Amino acid sequence: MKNRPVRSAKRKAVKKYTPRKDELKNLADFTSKNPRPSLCIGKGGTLLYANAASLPIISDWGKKIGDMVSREWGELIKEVLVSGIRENVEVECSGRTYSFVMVPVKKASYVNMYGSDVTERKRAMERLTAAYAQLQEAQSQLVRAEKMNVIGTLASGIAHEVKNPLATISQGLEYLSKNINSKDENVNSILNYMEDAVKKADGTIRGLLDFSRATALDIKSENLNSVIEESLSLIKMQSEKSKTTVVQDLDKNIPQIEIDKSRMQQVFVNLFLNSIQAMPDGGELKVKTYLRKLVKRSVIGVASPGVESAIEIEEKSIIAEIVDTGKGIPKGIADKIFEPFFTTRQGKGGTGLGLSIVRNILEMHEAGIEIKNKEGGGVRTTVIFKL
Amino acid sequence: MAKTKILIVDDEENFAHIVKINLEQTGSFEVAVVPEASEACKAATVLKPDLILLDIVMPDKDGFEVLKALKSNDKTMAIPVIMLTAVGDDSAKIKAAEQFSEGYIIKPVSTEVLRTKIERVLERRPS
Ligand SMILES: Nc1ncnc2c1ncn2[C@@H]1O[C@H](COP(=O)(O)OP(=O)(O)OP(=O)(O)O)[C@@H](O)[C@H]1O
Ligand SMILES: [Mg+2]
Repeated sequence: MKNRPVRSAKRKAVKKYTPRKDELKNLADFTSKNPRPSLCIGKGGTLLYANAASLPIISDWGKKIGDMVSREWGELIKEVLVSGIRENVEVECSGRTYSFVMVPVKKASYVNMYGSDVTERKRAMERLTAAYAQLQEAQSQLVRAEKMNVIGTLASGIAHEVKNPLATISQGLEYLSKNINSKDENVNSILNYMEDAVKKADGTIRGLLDFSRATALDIKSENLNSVIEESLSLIKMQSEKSKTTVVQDLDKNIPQIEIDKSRMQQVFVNLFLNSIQAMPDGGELKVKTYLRKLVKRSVIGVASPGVESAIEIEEKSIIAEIVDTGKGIPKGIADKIFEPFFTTRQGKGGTGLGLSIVRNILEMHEAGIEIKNKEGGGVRTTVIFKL
Repeated sequence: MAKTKILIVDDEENFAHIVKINLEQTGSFEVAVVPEASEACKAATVLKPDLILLDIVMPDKDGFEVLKALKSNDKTMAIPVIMLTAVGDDSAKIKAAEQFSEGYIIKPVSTEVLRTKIERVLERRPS
């Protein structure tokens, strides 16, 4: 092999080198003048050495050379010495972040720590992560919008093709029901089943159209309480039939909001029906509105290390809360309930389009929704309108 | 009492024929079916129905064109027209209303609803 270091006899003969005194001093200054913080901590946790750049850090710990470091640090030092493996740690001090590599020196039983200020890098990283998350969100919204476009075109095509034969079948069934005088009881029940099936299919198609309808919103200034009251009157029949007690707690002082009233009624009707359907043996449906003020602190920059200047923004939103005493959302399906066609009410008239319609309409209004099981049973749905 | 004369214009012939049977079975209607949109105006002039049920999506001509032709012809403009269609878009409903149709029904529909709507429209008609 070429270039292989060869121990020559000559080298062996080199005299042992002893540094001069000034050379030694320079060597010691080399570390202490390093603008990057360096520390040395002994096996027992004693702070053996700290260069000038690391003084702010140890004074932040309330320590000086010769002191014992904190218990956590002591344990970390022991670990590193036992394993003999370098370890990277981050240290926060006066609003800045330092990254230290801990180098165990086993023979001497201490750990050298070489640090560097990674504050800017870390901030940039955080900004990058936030920007990336935003980008991902925007992209998934785009994908959803594109899907909706496709579904819209598809839906209206299918609707026409399916509704016509359904219309023929339902008219035919009607004739047969009236005109077959059969003694066989099955004939009548079969005709009834078939009529139900036609209604179900028609309902699905109608839901699909509603879900995919990309028509512009008809936005006007409305009172959310009246929208809710009107939605409640639309489901009166169902709530009475299932012996549901409706409790209203609507805050008269909430301001008007800009919404499409009929689409918003669709939202509440769907949510109310879901609650009623979750309480087949009756229960309580509580609807509440209120104004929520959130004070949000926002950091606008760093004046000097450790001193953050912040502005406070008051964020107002109107909240509509729907609480039921039903059986709650079954385990493991919480992340699926907004998906189109996801339903646990197959065979009971569920199309699984209710909540996807709800989400669509709310997204168009830039409003938020959260549906969660409540402690002690039932479901709490929160709809949030930003003002 | 004389029976109400209805003209159904719909390319879905099976549907139109069953509607005809169901309406006639109520005893108050006499129904004619025209499956081609292009024949609709001629049929309306000849048959002089009391009311027309008109489909929208048809292969040879769309229902809006037929509606326009009916409403711009002296002989047929007074005949009320109810759109009977599988198309449920708001835009189609608005277009039909703008072109002076008297009603809009989305398929599927029961005979009872159909009958009620026909009677409503005819009640409104100035005699
Ligand atoms: N208040 C609630 N309590 C318990 N489960 C609920 C509630 N709301 C929604 N869910 C669950 O979410 C599923 C999806 O709801 P979604 O409204 O989308 O469809 P659906 O109600 O099943 O059908 P459709 O709305 O067409 O009648 C339901 O099948 C049910 O399992
Ligand atoms: Mg639902």
